[in-house]
Amino acid sequence: MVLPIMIRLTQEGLRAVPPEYSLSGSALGISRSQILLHLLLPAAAPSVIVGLVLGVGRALAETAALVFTSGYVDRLPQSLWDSGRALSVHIYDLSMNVPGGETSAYKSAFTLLILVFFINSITTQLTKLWLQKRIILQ
Amino acid sequence: MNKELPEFYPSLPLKIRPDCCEPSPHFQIENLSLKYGSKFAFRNIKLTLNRGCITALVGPSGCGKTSFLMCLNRLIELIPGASVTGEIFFDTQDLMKAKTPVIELRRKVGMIFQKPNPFPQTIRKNIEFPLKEHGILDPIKRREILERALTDVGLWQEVKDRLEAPALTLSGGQQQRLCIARAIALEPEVLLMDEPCSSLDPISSGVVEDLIASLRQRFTVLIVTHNLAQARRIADYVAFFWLEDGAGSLIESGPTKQIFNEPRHKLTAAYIGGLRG
Repeated sequence: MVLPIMIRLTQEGLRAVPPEYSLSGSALGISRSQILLHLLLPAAAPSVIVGLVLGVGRALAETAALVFTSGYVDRLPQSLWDSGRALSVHIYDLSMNVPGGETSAYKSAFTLLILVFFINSITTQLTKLWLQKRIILQ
Repeated sequence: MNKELPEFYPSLPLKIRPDCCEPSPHFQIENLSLKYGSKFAFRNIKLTLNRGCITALVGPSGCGKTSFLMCLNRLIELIPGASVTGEIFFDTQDLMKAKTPVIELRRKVGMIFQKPNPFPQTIRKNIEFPLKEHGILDPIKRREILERALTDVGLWQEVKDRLEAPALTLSGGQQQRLCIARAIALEPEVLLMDEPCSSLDPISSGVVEDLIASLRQRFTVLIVTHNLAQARRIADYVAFFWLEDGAGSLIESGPTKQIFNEPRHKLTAAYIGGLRG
């Protein structure tokens, strides 16, 4: 669940490295893998670390907080203010507390995966669109 | 400002190369065209670079001088959308062949960029990292090469006590000389220079210019410059680019004296004389 944050921040960090590094590295006949290892990754290290901290922090804090904020109720919420439950909590509940709930747990997990994939692809497309508008592509 | 430059180091392993007065081709470019997407950057360039000479590339911005430079060490293939046609011969080697070992080529054909671009590492690492990559694993040998390269660019006396300092703490002119040292540490045969002085102040620019002039005969140099006076001072040959139908094209090339004193093309005459551009 925390991978998207980490991947995105690593990507951004690598992209923020001035293109001159890899160009001048290549001009000196240094191979691409060595450029990545010795020039790009060290330069992008701060973003990678921030991604790690944010990701791990989220993973640690999230489950407990969700139970208290969005609730732990096993029915369809009637309004925005009504209590509900997050999918991850639901999966946990199904697999641990409900006898024979494994199949439903897997189904919920699958739904969650599809949702994550869907949200990620939409945001990727959107950022691409926005970036294209903001930066003149070379 | 000359005193910080090396005068002559007899210890240098100077390869015996023909003098500039006896031209011998090192690079031969035939009908070279470059397209970015569907737009031509330059068209049908035909140019010969002579061994051990300094050739200056002059002309307005946007006529493909930098792109032309990047074709000669095949750096252009890292630019998305660029496609090159034509022939480039480096000695007898056909560079346009897909099999050309680019890593080896880029060691032999060094490049200096407009903006000094040392790596964000220490001064020592800046020079030693590429050496390591090219298989020089003996630290004593690397240290020798480091000292020789820094001496060649007149930087040794200035930085010998702070080799472990970050390269980005150097001044602009020093950074550019470090970049030149980094390139010549690999003992290339050719140096491509993309306006190496244009982002420097007049004093540093003068130091770098004298340095480039001192590289004559040791390397074949192709230098892009917007500074006509500079081209006149240091170049043996001048090639003049201009925009024709929205794409760069080579109008005229020849010995510096001839280009400046008896240009054959009226565009050259106008540009040299300061009427255009």
